[in-house]
Amino acid sequence: MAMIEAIKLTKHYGKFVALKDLDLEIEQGDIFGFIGPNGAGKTTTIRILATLLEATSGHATIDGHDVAKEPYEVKKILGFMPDEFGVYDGMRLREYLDFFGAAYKIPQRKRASIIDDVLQLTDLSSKADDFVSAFSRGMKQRCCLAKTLIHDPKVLLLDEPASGLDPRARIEMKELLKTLCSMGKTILISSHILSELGDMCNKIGIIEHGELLAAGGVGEIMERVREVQELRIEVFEGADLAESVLKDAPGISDLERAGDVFQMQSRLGRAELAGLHGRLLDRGVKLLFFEQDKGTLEDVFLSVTKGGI
Amino acid sequence: MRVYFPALSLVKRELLSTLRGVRAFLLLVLFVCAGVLYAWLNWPESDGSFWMASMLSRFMMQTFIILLFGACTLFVPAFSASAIVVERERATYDLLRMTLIRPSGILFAKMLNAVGLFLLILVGLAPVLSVAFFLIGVDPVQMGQALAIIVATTIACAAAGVLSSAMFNRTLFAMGASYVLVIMLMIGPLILVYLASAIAPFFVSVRAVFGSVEYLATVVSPVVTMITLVGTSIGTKGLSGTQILLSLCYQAVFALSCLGVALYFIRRPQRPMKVEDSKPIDNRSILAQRKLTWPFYIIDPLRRKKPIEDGRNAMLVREMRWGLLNRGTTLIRVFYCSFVVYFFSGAVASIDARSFDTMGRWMLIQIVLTIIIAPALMANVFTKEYELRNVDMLRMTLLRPREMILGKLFAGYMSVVPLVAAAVLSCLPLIALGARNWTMLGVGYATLLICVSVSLSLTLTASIFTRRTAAALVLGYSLSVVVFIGLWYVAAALGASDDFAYMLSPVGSYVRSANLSLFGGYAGRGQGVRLEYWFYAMGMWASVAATLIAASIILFTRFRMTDR
Ligand SMILES: Nc1ncnc2c1ncn2[C@@H]1O[C@H](COP(=O)(O)OP(=O)(O)OP(=O)(O)O)[C@@H](O)[C@H]1O
Ligand SMILES: [Mg+2]
Repeated sequence: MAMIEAIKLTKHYGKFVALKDLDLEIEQGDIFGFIGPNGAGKTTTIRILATLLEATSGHATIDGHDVAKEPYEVKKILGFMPDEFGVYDGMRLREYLDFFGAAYKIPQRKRASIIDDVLQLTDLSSKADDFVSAFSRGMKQRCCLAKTLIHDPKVLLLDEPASGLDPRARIEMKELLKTLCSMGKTILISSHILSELGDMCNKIGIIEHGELLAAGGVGEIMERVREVQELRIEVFEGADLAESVLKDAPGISDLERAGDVFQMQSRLGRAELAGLHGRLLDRGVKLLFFEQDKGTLEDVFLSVTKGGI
Repeated sequence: MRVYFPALSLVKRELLSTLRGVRAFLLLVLFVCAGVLYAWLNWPESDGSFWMASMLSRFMMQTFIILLFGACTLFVPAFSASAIVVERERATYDLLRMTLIRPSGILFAKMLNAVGLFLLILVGLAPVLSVAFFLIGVDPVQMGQALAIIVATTIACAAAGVLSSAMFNRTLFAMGASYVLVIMLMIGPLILVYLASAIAPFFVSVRAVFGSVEYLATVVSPVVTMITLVGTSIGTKGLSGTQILLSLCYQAVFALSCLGVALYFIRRPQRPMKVEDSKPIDNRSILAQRKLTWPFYIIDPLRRKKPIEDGRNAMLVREMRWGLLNRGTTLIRVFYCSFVVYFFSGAVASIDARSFDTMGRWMLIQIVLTIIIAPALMANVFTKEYELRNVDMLRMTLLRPREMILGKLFAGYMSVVPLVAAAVLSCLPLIALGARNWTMLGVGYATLLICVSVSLSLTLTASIFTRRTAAALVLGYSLSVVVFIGLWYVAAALGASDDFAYMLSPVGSYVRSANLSLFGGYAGRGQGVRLEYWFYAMGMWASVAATLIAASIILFTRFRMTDR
């Protein structure tokens, strides 16, 4: 059963429809990247999943628990990092985490070591005795992430967690999320930094005007979205042979040759591509390099969304 | 126009955002309705004698004016104190400062907005007030003077609020400062005058001093001005035009100096919020040493705090350890100290007789003062979380709504403890002097506790269902007025029996059961306390408080109150 599941989720703010029949299915161990232009409805979706907002219609479950009917059960297994949040005045980082630890009913004797762990994970150990309200934005972001991890939740909902982080912290965060994922956690992350999501997520969903335009595996969506892709081939031996094969191959156009390097536009799916590869080898071409450019999430994003808020 | 005066766009935005809301409209309607209701209930019957009717209509106008005056000193400071500080909290202040609007423009716009709503209410009440001109016995000149004073006080209070707002980074502090400033406006110079008058007789003739003290008092204290103005009964001379003028001048000077200082604060580059950057101290001997240099800390802020113990309400512990006892110790300390002093001086002042009534009346003063202060301590408990944008994260934890609300509520009770303690202490001199009616004392303090509970739960409800501290404070006070005076008053005016009408207010039931004569007289002297009546009434009010709390827990759970 899916870890996070939403069925026909709809949310109206007065007359304004922020979400329209959104269906979502995220399996355990997935890192699901949630992307969409500003005002698309990402935060709205995440807040409904986090039990903070009531959907107008439709329903959603986290690990089988309905978010509207069993919020307490959901909260136990859910770590939520909001896009905007404040921090308490006059609390030191360790005290702040201790408060949330206690609020998540973690026994006191376990709390200290858990806090040490999350501080280590978020690289804040040296700041444990500093006041949270004096933190920079990025440090507050890390502090909130530490708070989110404190009760070892199975499912993480992260709303733009990387905004405000420095490049090193971003890379570390990416590693952290991958580690968490390998521990079997399910992560839903919304972000505008697509290059990052691209090599971290195994699934993505693209939302615009409250509608899910595409969802699924990253490669799958890329393929579906981009019909024409760049194919680059470099041969070690048999360039002329290769040229003749490529010229006749269906779905290949705009072939350009520069010595042993070929560049062309391809409309081939994965299977056809493998076929072409095999044919070249069969004819005795020795290949050095054979790559169809996957494109970037940015390209996908631009071609799927229409723009306009 | 707008090109030359960019401030106008700010004025427009301010007024629009205030007046567009339903709240302004509701407030207006509420005031006008209350005014009409009041006039209707008290309309002098014409079949009585001419003298009787004029007495009644005078009394009606007096109460009306005093109520208006009270409302403006209670609400305007809170409303205006949030003017600038809210922009800071929402981080829109920098954007505002970056525009071409001059600091004076910002000040002007904020002032106009703060004064605007109340003046609008005044205008809305004008039809009701103008009816007074048809009443016999009401002097139009006196009415005009009273209104002028109300307008001046509104402006002075707004100036005090805007100044506090420009000074602080947190709404709560701004509000505290705002009320302190208004108290200064009301009684600050008055106290000086009386102090001077205590010393002066050594130098000049007593008679001259008393004459001028009375004169000065009506000038440097708007409360005294107001009371003298409307309180003069037929036959005695009211205030002279010069006195009114001087009083207006006093308030104008106060307002202008507030605005001047506020301008300085707005012009000044913004100070970052002060954050303690020292590490916590574990070493006991260092802590002991610090205790000697900081003898006034309730708890040394640098002492390392213990982790929250298992099984305790995390919310309550947070409020106590980090909220109440940590920050704001200074402010709270000043506040409570002044209160202790105030209560003591009040006690000393009231020792004129060792009678039954003295004790009861003194208890009554304590009760009233405490329920006036209590909402201010409670109003921000939830709005603080909204203002700091913490509600979402709190609601995501496993803390149950019950725990959150009860935690906040108990923290509120704890913050009132010093007040009640001050009240108890202030009775000691009285007891020492022989006023030893223990039943009265017990009943009085029990009433005090129940009144505080009612007041705190009302404010708590207000704090849960509003987003801004200012709104919570105003709503809390409005609800308090309804519960403590409103129902009682309406019932009495509609001709309900005294026993019933008085029971509709916690304070009223105390007055009734203790047979207190409020305005002199000897209503029930020697009859003792009607314990049975008191038990009924207090039982009812205690359950009202409990019901309110239960209701707010249910509503808090039901309506998903979140950061947006
Ligand atoms: N409380 C609210 N009342 C009315 N409309 C709202 C409210 N909250 C959000 N909206 C609207 O719902 C839409 C979706 O908002 P949401 O915050 O979910 O967008 P988002 O995808 O998170 O955008 P961003 O990338 O900018 O964070 C927006 O058009 C927004 O204006
Ligand atoms: Mg968002």
